[in-house]
Amino acid sequence: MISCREITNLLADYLEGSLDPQTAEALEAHLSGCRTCDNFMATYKTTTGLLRELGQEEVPEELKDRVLRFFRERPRRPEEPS
Amino acid sequence: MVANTGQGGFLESELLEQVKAGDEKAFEAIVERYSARIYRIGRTITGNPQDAEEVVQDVFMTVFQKIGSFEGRSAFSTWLYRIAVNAAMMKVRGKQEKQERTEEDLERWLPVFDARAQHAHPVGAWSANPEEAVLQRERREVLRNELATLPTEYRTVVALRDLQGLSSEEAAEILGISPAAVKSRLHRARLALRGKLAAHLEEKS
Repeated sequence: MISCREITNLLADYLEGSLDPQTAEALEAHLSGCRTCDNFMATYKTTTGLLRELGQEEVPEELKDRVLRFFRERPRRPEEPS
Repeated sequence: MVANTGQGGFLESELLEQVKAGDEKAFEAIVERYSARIYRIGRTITGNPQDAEEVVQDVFMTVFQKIGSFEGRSAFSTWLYRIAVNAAMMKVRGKQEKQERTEEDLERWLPVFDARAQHAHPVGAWSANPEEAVLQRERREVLRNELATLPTEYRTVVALRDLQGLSSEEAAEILGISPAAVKSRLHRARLALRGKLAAHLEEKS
């Protein structure tokens, strides 16, 4: 029987779908009989989903313009065309 | 003239040749394409928006100055993200050395198991509720703040893997560590963040 500790160690691979079918099946069997691990997996998955959402967050609207202004106003090196 | 596939996408290699030749329009196209991604990496590693914006400026100045030395042995994005990670790390080193979080800070938030390798503490479900969008936004905000409290090497991996959506192999190439180390740091970071978020939600209920 696979332990709660082992389940925890396998979560990332399980959610990525990279576990071999036999291990994935053993993990699912454990989850169906262990409320604690089932809750743990659901909350781990939610955390990962929220992190991905952070990667979609808006950036300041003016960011690109400010970067380009900074670039255009940079001190030129002698070899650069003005 | 900026290289374009005609379908709205860029032929990146042509674009890079134009940047190498000093074409500022091509450079602007690169800024357009990557500034938001660099900003998000910078924000996650430095922990604040002002530093993130400086990281974006530093990165593109470096790109403009060093593009001639980019030989295409790795993908351009790999080269660019490596510059971004280094620029963000420099900011962290310069400002936060004394406050830098340690591995022990992170370990406090990892799950605890008893002698039989079972969870030592109960784990509750996180409720959904009718105001789901508000709830999600609030949780994201908590997570954003908690992310800033992780040790830098963990924030960096989360920035590349979860926020940027890169593979472990790509993140490993950027950071110069093994894919196994990326996976291990990512998992520990997510576990610690889950623990921190759980503590926050329990405090509220």
